[in-house]
Amino acid sequence: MSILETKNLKKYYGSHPNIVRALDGVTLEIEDGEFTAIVGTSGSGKSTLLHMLGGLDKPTEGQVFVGGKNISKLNEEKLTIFRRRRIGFIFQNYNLVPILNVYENIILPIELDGNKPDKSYIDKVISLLGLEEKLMNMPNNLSGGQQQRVAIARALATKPAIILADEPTGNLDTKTSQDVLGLIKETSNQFHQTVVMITHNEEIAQLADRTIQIEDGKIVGGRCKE
Amino acid sequence: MRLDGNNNRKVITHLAISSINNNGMRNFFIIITIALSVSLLMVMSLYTIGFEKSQQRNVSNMQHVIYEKVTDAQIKAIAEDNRVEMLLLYKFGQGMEVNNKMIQPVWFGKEAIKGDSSALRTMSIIEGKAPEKLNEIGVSRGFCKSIGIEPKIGITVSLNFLDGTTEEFVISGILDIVDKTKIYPILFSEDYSLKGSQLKNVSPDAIVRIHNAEDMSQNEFLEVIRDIANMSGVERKHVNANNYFVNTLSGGNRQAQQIVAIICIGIGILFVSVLVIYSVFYLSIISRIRQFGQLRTIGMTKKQIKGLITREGLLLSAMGIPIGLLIGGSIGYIIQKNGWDWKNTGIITIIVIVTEIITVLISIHKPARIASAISPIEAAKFSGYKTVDSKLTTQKLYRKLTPGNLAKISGTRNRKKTLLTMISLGIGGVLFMIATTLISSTSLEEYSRQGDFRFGEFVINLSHNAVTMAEHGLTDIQMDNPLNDKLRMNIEEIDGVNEVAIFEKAAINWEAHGEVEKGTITGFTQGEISGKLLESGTMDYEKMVEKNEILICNNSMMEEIYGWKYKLGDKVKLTFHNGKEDVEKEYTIVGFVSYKYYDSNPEAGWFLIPKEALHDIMNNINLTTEMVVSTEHSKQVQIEAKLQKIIDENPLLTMYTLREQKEIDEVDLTLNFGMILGLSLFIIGFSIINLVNTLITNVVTRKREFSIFQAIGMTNGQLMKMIQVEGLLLSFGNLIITLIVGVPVSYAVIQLLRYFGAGYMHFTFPLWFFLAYVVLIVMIPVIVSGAAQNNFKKQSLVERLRIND
Repeated sequence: MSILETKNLKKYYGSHPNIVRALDGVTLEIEDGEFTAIVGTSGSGKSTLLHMLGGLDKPTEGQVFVGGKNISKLNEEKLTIFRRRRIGFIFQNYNLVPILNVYENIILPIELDGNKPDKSYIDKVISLLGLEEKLMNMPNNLSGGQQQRVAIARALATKPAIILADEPTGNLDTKTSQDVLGLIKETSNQFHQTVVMITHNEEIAQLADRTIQIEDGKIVGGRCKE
Repeated sequence: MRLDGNNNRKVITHLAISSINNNGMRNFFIIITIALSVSLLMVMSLYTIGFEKSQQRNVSNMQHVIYEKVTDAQIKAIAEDNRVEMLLLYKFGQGMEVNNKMIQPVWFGKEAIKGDSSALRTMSIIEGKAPEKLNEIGVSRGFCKSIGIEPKIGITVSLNFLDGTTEEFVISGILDIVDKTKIYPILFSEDYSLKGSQLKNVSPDAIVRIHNAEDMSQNEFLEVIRDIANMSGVERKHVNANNYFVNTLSGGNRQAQQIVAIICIGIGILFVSVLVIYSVFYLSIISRIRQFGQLRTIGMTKKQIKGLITREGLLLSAMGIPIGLLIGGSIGYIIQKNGWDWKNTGIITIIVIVTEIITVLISIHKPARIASAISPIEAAKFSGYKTVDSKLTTQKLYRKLTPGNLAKISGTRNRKKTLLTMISLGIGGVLFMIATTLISSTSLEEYSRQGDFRFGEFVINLSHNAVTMAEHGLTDIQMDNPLNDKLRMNIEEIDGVNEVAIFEKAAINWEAHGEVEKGTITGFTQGEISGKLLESGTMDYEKMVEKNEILICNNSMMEEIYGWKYKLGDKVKLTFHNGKEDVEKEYTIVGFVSYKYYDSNPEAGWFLIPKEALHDIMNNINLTTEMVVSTEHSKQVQIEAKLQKIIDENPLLTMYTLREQKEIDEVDLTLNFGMILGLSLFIIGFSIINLVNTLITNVVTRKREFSIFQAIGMTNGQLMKMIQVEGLLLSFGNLIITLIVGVPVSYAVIQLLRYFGAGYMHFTFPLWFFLAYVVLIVMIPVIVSGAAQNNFKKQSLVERLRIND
């Protein structure tokens, strides 16, 4: 069953004759529980694709279905609420809220939804990511790897349908990158999460179940793990 | 050659200009702040200096001192004193009433005995010529109108004098006088002053101006005029210094107080300006940290960064200061036209410009240092809120994360910034509170009711005319006093009259310390003078009656007039005329009474003895000299008409009304309140700029942070609420400071003013002003946050997420 599906997705910037076709007719399907890597060079449109998948941006044309629901039709307010319930984001620059401590950052999406965190689940996520000792720390007081682990925990907190990761290891050294990637993979296995990750690093892409290669806003290739 | 010593000024200036061009909102705030503080400083200094100037202009044509009742020998001696610049004689005859108006016979010497009197403002003729012959007079148009004749040269006027005689005069000239008061002067000729019945027995007074008096201090001046009097044999009590002139000299209390007050207010304004400009610059620099890092990376020195920011500040001053000068100058001119002086304005302008530039430089010193201290690496990481006291951990694991709570958490992230903003907002609020409390606490009613109107709305006195005319003055009238029980009962019968308060006094001659003078004495009842009223000495009512003991009220006034004060145990000799005979008695002073006694007895003078004793000496004649009628408010119009009729029927009585007094006072108070309100609006202007700047900067510098919130699922509504609550927290902080500090300080100010005699002030919370302030201060965050959020929504969420990437 495909949890995520796009149909002829297009995103154009600017106006004629200076049109930039960031995405130019992308159609893809991603299965539930799959770990997919989107690879491509800088400016290929992979980030734009991820933003469309997560409802951060709206397509010029085409549709995005998450769990069968066409999110391209939602208004901004509904899209935001959809995002916080169904999508978990992991950004290259972590994007933690600097005024909140680690624990508060993790549960923020749940609180914004007006819900109580599922304590045992959150504890499990925290322990899996090794953040037990850091819960009361402020983000600025953490290393890059630690911050990214907090971001992963935050992405998992709402038990979303999909986790979208935008170059999650882009700011990290090789050793830490390995740890973080391992954790993303492990948690997605553990909690049966669908993960879509952007990277320009072929090596990292190797870890994924499936790779989709994108160039000039179009899917130009890909492979599936045997 | 130093690396930063080469010719790079142009580049820095160019960078500063382009930075300014790219920060419209920030510049707008800074320019407005500078313009506000400049115009405030201008208005204040122009007003004060202009006030002094207009006084100087007024006194430049005035006498410095009048030596009263001078003899020929004294005139000669004064004229010979080389400190005397000008000496002019004049005579002031007995005033009399005609149709309820006073007329005053006067004569001015045609030429000064010494010096040039042409600049002196005396009586000038606008039509015809000054009286020369015995039967010629100069009169004002108002006078002619009041007696029903045409103001024309050559017209014959007959004047009925107090002694019952009538004399005929021919109008030779019309005086240049606008008759604002009830007193009409009549100018007589020199011939008449020597031979005429009204002036021949009047001793002349000498109008004197002193060389270089303008450059003296008050004490020096007073010493000089007293010394001249001493050398010429003029008694101290006949030295009448022109107090208006004296007040324009340096060294007075009033001037010192004014200067201190102006300096304090000026420092206050500058302090608020520093806070506002500082916070605007601080926030602007915080938001440009990365930019400075980049400049540092490509090789800009710390000094050049500082120079860049300083130059930005100076460029903005160059725009804000002229605006402020123009606004402040115009307002200053309008409110103090009389005292406008280009030279003073020039000096003030230069001082204000220099002060303001220094203020701006002080304000941006710290932000410039912060900017220059940024290392390129640090700058790249700088996230806008990692400032001074960012915490490493929290106390609690978890705080409730509603939008409102998030706003609170945000407010505590940079306590210094939050505190700074709140204080600078709070100062504005406190000043506003003080200003509006002054207005709300002043009661026009009570202001006008100081003095005789304390006891009622209508004051009825014995006519001045009648008193002066009588052979034994006051006593003759009191023998058949029109202010009698019948009158009292007549008044009490008028519908709406509550009470008629009666005050009395008796005329006496007193002799003490070698002075012999006319005066009055008042009787007091047992128990009336006690407690704080009796400033020193002891009194026993019965003993006072028995042993001819007396109390002195307002003893300090004696020193001002005669140069000496009574002491306990001093003797004073009083002569009473009781209608039958003159009674002479010697009294011993046993106590001194505060001038506050006049509040309860407006007719009292210096001397107080037991009422019984006074009535006894005065043969129990009716000593009433004043009746004050208190009435029901709603019936005052009818009562006034009825009272006026009674007064008109009796030429011996005159009446003053609270209504007239209030009309005069209202004009004064409205003017004062207008100025206070104007000042408050300036102050609020600062607060608003500061608040709006903080709010906008708050949103603009945190675009990315807000986009994170939105990316992980904060809705627009939640975001809006969070931003607004953050703004409202500042507003409430400000309002709390305004209340907690403003109310006690305002209360203290009112008490202080009351202590200094403003008894008509009662602390009243300025509810309406405060509510208006609350609405303003609460509305602003709501509106500005909304507008700012709409503005940043123009950028897509994805773009905003990338801002620091």
